[in-house]
Amino acid sequence: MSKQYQFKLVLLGESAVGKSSLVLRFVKDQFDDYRESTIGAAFLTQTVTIDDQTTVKFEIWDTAGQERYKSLAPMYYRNANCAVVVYDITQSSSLEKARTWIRELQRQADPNIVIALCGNKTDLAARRQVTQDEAKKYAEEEGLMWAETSAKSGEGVTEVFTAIAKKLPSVASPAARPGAGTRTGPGARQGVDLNKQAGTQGQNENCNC
Amino acid sequence: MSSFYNVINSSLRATENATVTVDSLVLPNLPASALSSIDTSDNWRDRRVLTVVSHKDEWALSEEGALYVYKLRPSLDSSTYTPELVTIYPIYDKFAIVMSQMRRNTLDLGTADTKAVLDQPRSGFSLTITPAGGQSKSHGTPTFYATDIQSLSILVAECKRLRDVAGWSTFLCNDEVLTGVFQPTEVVDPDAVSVSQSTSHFNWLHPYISKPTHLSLCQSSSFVPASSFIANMRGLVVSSIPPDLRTMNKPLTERLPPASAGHPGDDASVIQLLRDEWIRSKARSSVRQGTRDLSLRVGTFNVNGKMPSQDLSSWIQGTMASTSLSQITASSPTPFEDMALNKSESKISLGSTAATTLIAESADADSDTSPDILVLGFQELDLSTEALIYSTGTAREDAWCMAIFAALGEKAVQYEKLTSKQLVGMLIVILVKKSLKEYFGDIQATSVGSGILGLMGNKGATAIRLTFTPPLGAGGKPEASSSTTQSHEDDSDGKKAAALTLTFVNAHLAAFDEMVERRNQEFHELSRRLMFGRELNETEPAVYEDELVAQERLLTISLYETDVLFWMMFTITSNLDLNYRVDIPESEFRKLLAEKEWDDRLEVLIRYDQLKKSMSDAKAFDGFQEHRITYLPTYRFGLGLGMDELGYDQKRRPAWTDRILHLPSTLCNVEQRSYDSYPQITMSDHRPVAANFSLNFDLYEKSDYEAAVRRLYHEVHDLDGSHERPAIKVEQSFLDFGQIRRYKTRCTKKVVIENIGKIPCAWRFIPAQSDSPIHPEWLSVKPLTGLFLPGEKTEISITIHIEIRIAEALNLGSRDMSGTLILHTVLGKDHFIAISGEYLPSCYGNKLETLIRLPGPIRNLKSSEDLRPENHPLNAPGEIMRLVNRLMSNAKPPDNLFLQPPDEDMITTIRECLDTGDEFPWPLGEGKVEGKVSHALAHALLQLLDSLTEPILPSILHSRCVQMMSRDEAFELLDALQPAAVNVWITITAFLHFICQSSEVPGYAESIAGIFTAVLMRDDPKSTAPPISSIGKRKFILQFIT
Repeated sequence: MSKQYQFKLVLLGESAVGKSSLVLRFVKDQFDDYRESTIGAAFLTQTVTIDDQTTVKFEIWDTAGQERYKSLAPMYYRNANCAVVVYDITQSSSLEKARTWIRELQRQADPNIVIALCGNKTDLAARRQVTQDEAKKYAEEEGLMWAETSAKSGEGVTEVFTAIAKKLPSVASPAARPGAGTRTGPGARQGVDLNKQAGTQGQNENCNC
Repeated sequence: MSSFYNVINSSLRATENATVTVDSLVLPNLPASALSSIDTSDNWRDRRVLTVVSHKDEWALSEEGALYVYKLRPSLDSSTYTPELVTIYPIYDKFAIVMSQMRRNTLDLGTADTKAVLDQPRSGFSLTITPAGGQSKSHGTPTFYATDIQSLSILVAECKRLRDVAGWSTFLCNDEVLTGVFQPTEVVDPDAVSVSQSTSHFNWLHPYISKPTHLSLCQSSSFVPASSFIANMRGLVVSSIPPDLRTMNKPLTERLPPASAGHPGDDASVIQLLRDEWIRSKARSSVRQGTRDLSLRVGTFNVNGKMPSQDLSSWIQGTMASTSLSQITASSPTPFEDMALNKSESKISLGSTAATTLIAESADADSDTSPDILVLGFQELDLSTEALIYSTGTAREDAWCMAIFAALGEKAVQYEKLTSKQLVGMLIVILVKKSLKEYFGDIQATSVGSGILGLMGNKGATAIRLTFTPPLGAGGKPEASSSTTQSHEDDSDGKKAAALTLTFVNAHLAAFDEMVERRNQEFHELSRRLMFGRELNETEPAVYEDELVAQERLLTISLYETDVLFWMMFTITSNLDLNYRVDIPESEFRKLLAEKEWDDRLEVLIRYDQLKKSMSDAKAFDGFQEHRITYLPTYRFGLGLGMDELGYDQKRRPAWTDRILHLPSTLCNVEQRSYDSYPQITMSDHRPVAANFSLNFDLYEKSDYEAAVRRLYHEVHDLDGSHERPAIKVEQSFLDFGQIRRYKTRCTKKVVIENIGKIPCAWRFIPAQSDSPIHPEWLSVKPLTGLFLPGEKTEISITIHIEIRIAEALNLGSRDMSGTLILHTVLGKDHFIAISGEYLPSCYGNKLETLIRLPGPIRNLKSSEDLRPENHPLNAPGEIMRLVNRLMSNAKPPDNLFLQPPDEDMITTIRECLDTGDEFPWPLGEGKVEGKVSHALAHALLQLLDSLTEPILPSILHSRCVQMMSRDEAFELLDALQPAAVNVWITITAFLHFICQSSEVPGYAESIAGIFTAVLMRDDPKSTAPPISSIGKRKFILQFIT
């Protein structure tokens, strides 16, 4: 029997660091050189297979990075199980912005949220401003996952999401039960072991649906 | 495969696919002999088409399936059948389908006719279905009989496969989840719906389940008139029964399920609502052949048990019978003549439409002006005690009908009685023009008693519902621009116009002053219990219990399932709520009523009317409309002794007890032309009331409309059923309104959105959080929802409008006007539209207390901390003083100051100068423009005073003002005001005194007093203080300025 989990993931980070490109690469394995700036929030889903037994379905909210829309971000990251905070390795200011997002998440998001810090645009390593050591050290201090990616070449993209997927079930709230907190369409949801045996629950026990 | 395969498959959404269909017969109540050939026409009631439906979600890489059971609904002539979805069994977990060969040797070959025996297939199979949630308690295991072995094998194999792919076997562990999905006919239970919605599994089934959840929110027992998907997908659009008016009159945004940023909510319901709305309006406009008018006269009369003994022509025909006036004056000690004259004056001031209608009616007795339908409601027809229990026959009804025809005079020959309905004392009679009678039909009547024990007929209501199917082509008023207006004389025989449904209620509600609550409750009771039956073409025996329930619901039509609803009633209101009674003694009320010079006294007094209050508080008659009341109270008139000067009974407070309301429709334009009482009819202790209405509605062919709906449905078929995602382009995602200077002005910007995707796109604006508004209160957005096809563009208007109340907050608070609108594309992205603007504070729209604490021009004020200390304010607002000084420094002000319309641009400049402290750009003494400047300054002053959030003389003091008999007394009253208000009052009135002295315009002071009464002594509509006559207030001001 295979296990299926479902998680809400949100992408945050400064404008033009490549959040939407990262998602496009992950979901459709495509890249678009001239992507327009996201003015809004897009919802996508993608499933990753961990092993023969386990798959994880991500419900991804890709948000606008522009400062103007910052006040709306909490609407999208509330109830998120995981967040990918993206910076551009060729812009040191974008790492500063990423730190701000991380501080905000630590303060206001779900306490169990898994946060991954992601340095994008490794294809432009020649213009690198943020060293791997600097970012890695910061990530370690804050207990974050860290990786570098290139949405353009595809390098490291799937790996980031797979790593998050692998880390998630172990940190998901033990309260997560079959059917708990599910809702129509994209929305908040706990990590759910969709395949838990009925026997473990007891035949007549009502779940907290 | 069943012959219905194509029909069924095309009724599914694109994400769903019918993999196999099998014809079958439902087993429980079949005699063995019926197990013959399935495809005969006489057993359609037992026939079921079993269909396996598979749903693939490319995004989730998953597949789910369900077994749909359809029954057949015959067409009107029984020549064809349409499959109608009755039950859905989601396939997962314990779902099982067992096929076994039937034993056929018990079949009685002897009785069946030979042909049937020969047609009989050689073998049959029984199919037993076990629902996924296990056996339901109330419903036995459904069993079907089928013969097509090939299709059956596929069906069983498909079911097995789909159950296996539903690998999350125990995901739905709650029984309630199942009931929601499992029995479509039971989803009227809102709990079941909400539970089933909370799972993302099988939510694709929702569009097939009959009852959209939003409908369960309305109080009525209304029911979507069919449980089938085919009917459902267009049920609200093409049903011959109009949808519930209360739902339809609500803005679409209120009917949509809740959503907020990051939580799009129930997109499936959103799609259904937006799609229905889109199809309805598009279909209407595409088949419209013009419009048609229908005129109505609706009357209500509480006859107090009397038999007709007077000429009713004024009430019936709406003419002021001038001949009868002298007679009334003679027979009554009250000066009715004055009253009648007064009335006709007020009617002319009512507005051009009402006035012209009335003049036309009285001037010329042409049949064109007489209404197409006359609807008359009577109450207390019979007060005898036996009438409460026994119906006393039609003697009284006949007498009143005769009186009606007599009152019609020479027009009587044009009319014919269409129908009537009586319940003890309540009678409703409908007359129509003979020439139109053939177009009226589907007449249904109903009544509900709510008197003693909630059953007796002394109170309650009678109601009649009917349809008007106008002839196509002839008689209509085709639009010149319409290309489809060729003559329909020839082809109109076979084609039928869509009918307009009208419903009339005649009600008698609770009768005591203290019973406001009870009367509101009675209204809701009547709303619920007044139901009409529906005539079915054939009585269809139900097979299962749940189907029976559904059909019973179908048999009734709510009062509100109509195009227009008229409500005539008699209800004793006390006029004044208990709270007000203390403030307004009855004697005062009578005195005010009699104050003939005061034109708007009725309007002021009607504010205290209980019915109006219930309506505005939405406690009863929510959404109903009533024309402005311009007639005196209609109850209770004394007969002989104990009357006041107007003829009202001394013992009862005069009241507007006889009313006519209507509930308008979005699909039919209702215009009320008049609303009057007829005081010359004195036979009862009530006076009759009548109103003229003019209806205007679209004329179109029913079959054309249905065809258009089908076509349009196909156009948006992909809305929720495609693998494509909607994509739109927002052409302007940032709107800068710049500096906003003035309250009361509007500034609109347009945003164009374009559907750049491959499928139709439904969209709506959503709030950031579920409890926040969609947009700031100073903004309006139109439209808030929409649907458009690929390549289409839609323009959205975004308007900033600052009312005084908002200006007050902005003047002192944050001046930053920014916000973000969230445009959610259903099943797609959220798009942000950022708004920005800077409010420039103004001295207009403030409290007096704020103005006197301004250290300088308001524009220079950085924050509220810079205000002068509360104990060191200015004596009077600098801006008012500045305007008055400038006006006074003019050697000779124009002698018609305040009466001349001003130059608006000049006023804008003046306001700007007041706000910034800049000098006025017109040096004093420049003769050429000075007159013009003075007029502008005068109106700028008037507007500034009017913009104060509280009038200089607050309404609480108005009652004392009118008692001041001399100038000294008037001055003494000013002690009650705060010092700054006194200073303003003295400054203004001294200035007015000055200009009144120097003006030679006749009646100038009176005009000025009238203008300033409305500003300095502004009425507060929310005040609980007794209403004060504007005449008294004017006199008070005149004490100062003359």
